[in-house]
Amino acid sequence: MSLENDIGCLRGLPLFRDMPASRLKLVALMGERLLFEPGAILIHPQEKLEGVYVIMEGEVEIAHLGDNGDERRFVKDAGSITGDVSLLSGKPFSTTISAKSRVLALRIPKDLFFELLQTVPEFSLAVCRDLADRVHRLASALLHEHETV
Amino acid sequence: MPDMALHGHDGNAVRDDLDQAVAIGTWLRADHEIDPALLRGGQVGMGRDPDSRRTGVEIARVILAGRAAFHRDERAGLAGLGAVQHERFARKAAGRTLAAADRIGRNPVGLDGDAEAAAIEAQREEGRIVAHGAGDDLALPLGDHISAIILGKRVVEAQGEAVPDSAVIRGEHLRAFPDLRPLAACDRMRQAGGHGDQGQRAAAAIGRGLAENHAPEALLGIVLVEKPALRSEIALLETVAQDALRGIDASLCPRRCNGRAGEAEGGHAKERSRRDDPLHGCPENHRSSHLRPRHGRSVARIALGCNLTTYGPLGPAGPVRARVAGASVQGCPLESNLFRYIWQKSRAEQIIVLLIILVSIPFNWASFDVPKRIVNDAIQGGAFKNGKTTATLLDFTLHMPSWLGGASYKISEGFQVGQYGLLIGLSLYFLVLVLINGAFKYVINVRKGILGERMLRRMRYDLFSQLMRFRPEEIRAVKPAEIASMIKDEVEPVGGFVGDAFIQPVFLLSQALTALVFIMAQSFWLGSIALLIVLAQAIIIPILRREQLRLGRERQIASRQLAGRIGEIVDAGPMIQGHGATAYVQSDIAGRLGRLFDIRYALYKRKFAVKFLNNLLAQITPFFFYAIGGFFALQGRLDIGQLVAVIAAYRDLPPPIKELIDWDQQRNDVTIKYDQVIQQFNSDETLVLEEENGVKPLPEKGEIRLESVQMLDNRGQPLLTPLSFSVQRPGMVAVVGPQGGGKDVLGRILGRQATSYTGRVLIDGEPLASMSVERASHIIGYSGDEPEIIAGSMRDNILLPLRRRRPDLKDGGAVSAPEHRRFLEAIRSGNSPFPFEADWTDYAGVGVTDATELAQRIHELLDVFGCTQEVYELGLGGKVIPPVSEQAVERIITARRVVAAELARIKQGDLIEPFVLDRYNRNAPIVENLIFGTRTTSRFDSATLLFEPYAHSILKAESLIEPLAEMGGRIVATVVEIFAGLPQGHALFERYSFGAHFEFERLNELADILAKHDMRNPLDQETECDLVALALGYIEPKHRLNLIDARLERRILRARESFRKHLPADAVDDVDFYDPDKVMVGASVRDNLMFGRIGYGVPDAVRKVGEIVLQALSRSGLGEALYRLGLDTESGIRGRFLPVRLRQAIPLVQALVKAPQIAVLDISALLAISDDPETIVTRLHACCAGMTLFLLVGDANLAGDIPLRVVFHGATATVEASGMPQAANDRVSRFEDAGRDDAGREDTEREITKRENAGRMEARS
Repeated sequence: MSLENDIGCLRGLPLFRDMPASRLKLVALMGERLLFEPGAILIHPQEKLEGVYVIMEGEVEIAHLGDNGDERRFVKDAGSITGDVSLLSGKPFSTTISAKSRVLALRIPKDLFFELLQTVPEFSLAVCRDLADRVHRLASALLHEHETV
Repeated sequence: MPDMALHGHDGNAVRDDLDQAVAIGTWLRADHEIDPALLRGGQVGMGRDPDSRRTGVEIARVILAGRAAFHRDERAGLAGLGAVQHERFARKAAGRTLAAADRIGRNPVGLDGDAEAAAIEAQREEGRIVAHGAGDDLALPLGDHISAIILGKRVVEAQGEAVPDSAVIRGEHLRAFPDLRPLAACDRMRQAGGHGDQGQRAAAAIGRGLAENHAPEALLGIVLVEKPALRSEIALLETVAQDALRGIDASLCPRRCNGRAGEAEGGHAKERSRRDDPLHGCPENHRSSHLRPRHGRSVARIALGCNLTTYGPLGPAGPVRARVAGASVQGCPLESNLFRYIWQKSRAEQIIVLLIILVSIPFNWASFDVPKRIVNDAIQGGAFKNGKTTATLLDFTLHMPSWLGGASYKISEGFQVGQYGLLIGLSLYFLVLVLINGAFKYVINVRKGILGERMLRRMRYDLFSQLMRFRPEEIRAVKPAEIASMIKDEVEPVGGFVGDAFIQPVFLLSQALTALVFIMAQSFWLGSIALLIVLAQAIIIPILRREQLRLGRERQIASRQLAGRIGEIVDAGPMIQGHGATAYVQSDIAGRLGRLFDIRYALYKRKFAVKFLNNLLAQITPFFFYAIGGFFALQGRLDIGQLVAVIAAYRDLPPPIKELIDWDQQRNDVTIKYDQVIQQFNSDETLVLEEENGVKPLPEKGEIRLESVQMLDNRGQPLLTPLSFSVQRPGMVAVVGPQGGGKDVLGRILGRQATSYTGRVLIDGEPLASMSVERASHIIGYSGDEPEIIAGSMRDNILLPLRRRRPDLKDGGAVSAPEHRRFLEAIRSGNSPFPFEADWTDYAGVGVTDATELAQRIHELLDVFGCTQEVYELGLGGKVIPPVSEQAVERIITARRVVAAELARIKQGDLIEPFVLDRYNRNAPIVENLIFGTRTTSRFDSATLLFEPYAHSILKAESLIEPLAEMGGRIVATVVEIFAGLPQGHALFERYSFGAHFEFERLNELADILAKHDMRNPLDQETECDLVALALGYIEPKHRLNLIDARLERRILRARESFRKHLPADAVDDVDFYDPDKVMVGASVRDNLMFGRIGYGVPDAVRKVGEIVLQALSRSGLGEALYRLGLDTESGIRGRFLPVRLRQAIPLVQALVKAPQIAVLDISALLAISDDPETIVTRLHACCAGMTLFLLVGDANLAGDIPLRVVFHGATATVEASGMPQAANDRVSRFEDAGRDDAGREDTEREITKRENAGRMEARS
């Protein structure tokens, strides 16, 4: 519950591992600590995003209702960051993010996020790595599909 | 060739009409105006029957009369004119010819039905005649081109040609020409075809145009204003205009029902009967009502009047001119002559005061006489000469004048007194006279003052009413500050003068004459000296003061301009500040003030110089009196008493003279001021404000037609190119276009905010321009791109359009005395007697019965635009301010309980942590937990809490100061560490505020102090106070520094209790303790309802709480109360206190709340900021189902499936009607897109022209 716990938790995430202590404290303070019940929706589609969500505990589910009616779901677990793509590209979210289990998330407001990107090079590096990882996963998923089809 | 017609032709020499006509016709023919063969009676002529020959003769006469008028001005004999003017005259003559013929043509002789039918048929094919109603009922306005058709036909027939379609006269060509000059139009017509009677047709159009709205003004105004050198032709123009006036008078029904208000009959028969009697179709009540000037007539009159007053003595002289000049200001209720205005409006009062003055004169005289008697009879003993020891006092005899018999009646014997008695008696008599004179003066002054004030009130009201009659463009063109300064300040001296206008000179003259005659009576020589000096004063001083008048006028104008400029600058103030141009602007004002100062300086110098001279002259006279009078007295020709009386009387002579001269000065001054003000308020075209018999709604079905509506800006560039289409009522039109283009202009025209367009907008055949303001506002609801919100609550703004019903003056029961007096006084000053505070709301007019239904309708309308949620939010955010009624308190407490119950019900207990007396509220800051109440004053402010003695004592008692200071220290350290080195520390820093609003520098300072602090010494007071202030704002779940534990909480609870228990008496008003059964005064409604703090850490808590609160309220029936509270929110100037959605929505609601039959709504701005524009459009469609809706949007896709669209590209519009297949529409929209890139432009253009034609065809049918 306390700040120290949060800081410890954050430090455990690969994203924040290399951040200096003061910045970490800043993130912990400025971020909004939110608790989501299972099934609660974090982000609606087409919503204007005001911050990124760092999942500290629990799992979230990304659901997309396709044209042909089927739902595709991806699961992201603790340590991941959501919403950064939408915030960085300026395009609204096209999927719904909901909590699969009980989720403890830290919501970093938009300006703080950009501030961190600009002043803490380690953080931006970590975000880039995370994005790259996701792109790689996406690409391999597409390629595999293509092969099967 | 023209010479033949020129010389020797004046009205007197008409012997043989036909010869003359031939001669003139020849002349005219030289200019291709009229074929003279037509005028030759007996052979060809306007037809082969003798009647048409007579027609030709009459035409010729008319021309001759015009010529005669022209020749009245010898200087401009036609030979002396240049070729251009020659032609112009010719054209005008032709115009007059055909105007006359037009009138004559309305009573054609021997017209056979077939020819007429053929003409009508030809017109209908052209689409010129629109069939109204059932069957073939024709509905043409009187004076329309039927007669011109007939005339044209006959002309052509006379020439032996068949009647081609093109022989009918296009009067509408006139309207299509952008600058509307009949002369130029005629020119163009002539260029269009070389046929001889083209000119005739054009001239017929001119003649008809003279009966329309704009031509007289165009004809007179443009020529007069633009070509003042043509003054010689004014006479002709005047007669033309007068003919037009007469024609208008005779043919147009004053109510402009155009005869359609009568029973409808079969078409042709109606036409014929209408021809015989122009007013045939009008019902009785129209005809019997006094022919009052309507638009065309008054315009011509005003034009005439302008002409006369501008150009001086030309034109009909004598009473006609005077009458017409008077009529020229008919639009303005303010007379141009100040004295006439004053006399007209305050006659009775002035006469009463004059009578009082007359009555006071004898008393005045007596008071001069008595000193003489005192000195001579009493002091010098004149009454006791010849051994008389007593004299009679107070003996009155009434002498009848000789024509009543000459008898005399003794009223009282009086009594005998000795010398001392006589002295005292006479002195007392003198005293009584002084008192009486004083009383008279008092009464006269009070009455004068009241008279002046009433007049001032009336004048200000009239000026303001006149302002309300201006056309919208003119209102926008005036500067508000200048108008305010004029109405308030500049007419003030006029009001002050009114009381004096007639009374003062009479009064003063009476006084002066009394004194003068008295002096004369005593001694002729002395009197004549006094008279000479007085005359000298009266002549010299006004001459010297003329310069003062000129300076006064300058000062008035400069003053007004200063006010206007200041107003402008204040309006643009923030912008000027932002660009740093304040010094520049200040120097402008300084310059103006300097000019005013210079004028004043010159005024003062002159004023006091004149005063000096005046005094000098006045004081020289006693010198003469002493010298010459004393000489006479020494010689015995004058006795001492007389001399003393003369000198005493002379004391009373200069003041009235001086005041008379001042009065004259004031008169000149005020007349100038009045003229200046009236000039600004005299407008040529004023709107008619009110309908006489209330507004009748339009019939259910009808048509709105635009005919060549066009608007130019002041440089002649088109703002709207000619547009014609028609809409069936009820119906829907989507007007699509970019912001600032023709779409906005069209909206303004339809909403009657712009009136300077050419072309016509006809609503069921009635031109929009001629509707009165009241009628237009009932029928049309307009909300455009420049919405105005005035200061007041939202509800006031929304209900403004409904405040149009005059409140009932006799509102149940007797009126109280002050009410009655107020009412009378208002009537006497010509002001509106209806009280402003009464209920002006027109419930019946919009179909609701009372206020609750109206509130319901407002709710529905706001819902259409999706603003319901925001109104609730505003309601929630509104503060509860004292005084709070019992009912409100009850409701809030009930609602509070409901909210708590709701929260418990949905098991979201941690959404709000309620305030409980013996529990620590984790989501509230420490200070709130400590005080546990609303702080109504700044006594217990966090920043200074430690210094406040009572709070200090409480904290000390619980030994809370050290822990709090320590907390503060830890907070400082953390914050400084976190935000160190952050370049943008501030932005994020604000977010993490501790409620004490500390600057970052202060925190750094504190950190330094703490670092250097030695544990042994106590902290200094200020530091401690700041640290405690920081700590007081700490909220554990928000800040999460883990600084509060259960022990601290308990201590704070104990402190809370003691704070509450021992609160000193003088602090009772500073804290309002939280109590579940009491309302938190000074807090918002939302805070009151929640009675707790929103929990941190719950996602989206604010929104959820809002929803829950609203649900709870609506479930317990308090939703309406909240809605009402929301509507009571103050809007601020231009709506600056309102959220932007409401700012856009309120003008739209205003337009719809009055249930108009035509709605013109610009929703592009609202849709741009809405999340769901399609739903709003759908709801709007449903809401406006019974009306004709003009929907102005920026994006064609949002117009939905409205069949009729007017699409604007810049100033040009294309009308797209439905009936096109779906595929074509798709192609159209795709082509629109394609048109945006360069490729495919040709295709697009072809498509567009095809669409244009298709649309036009559709629109025309």
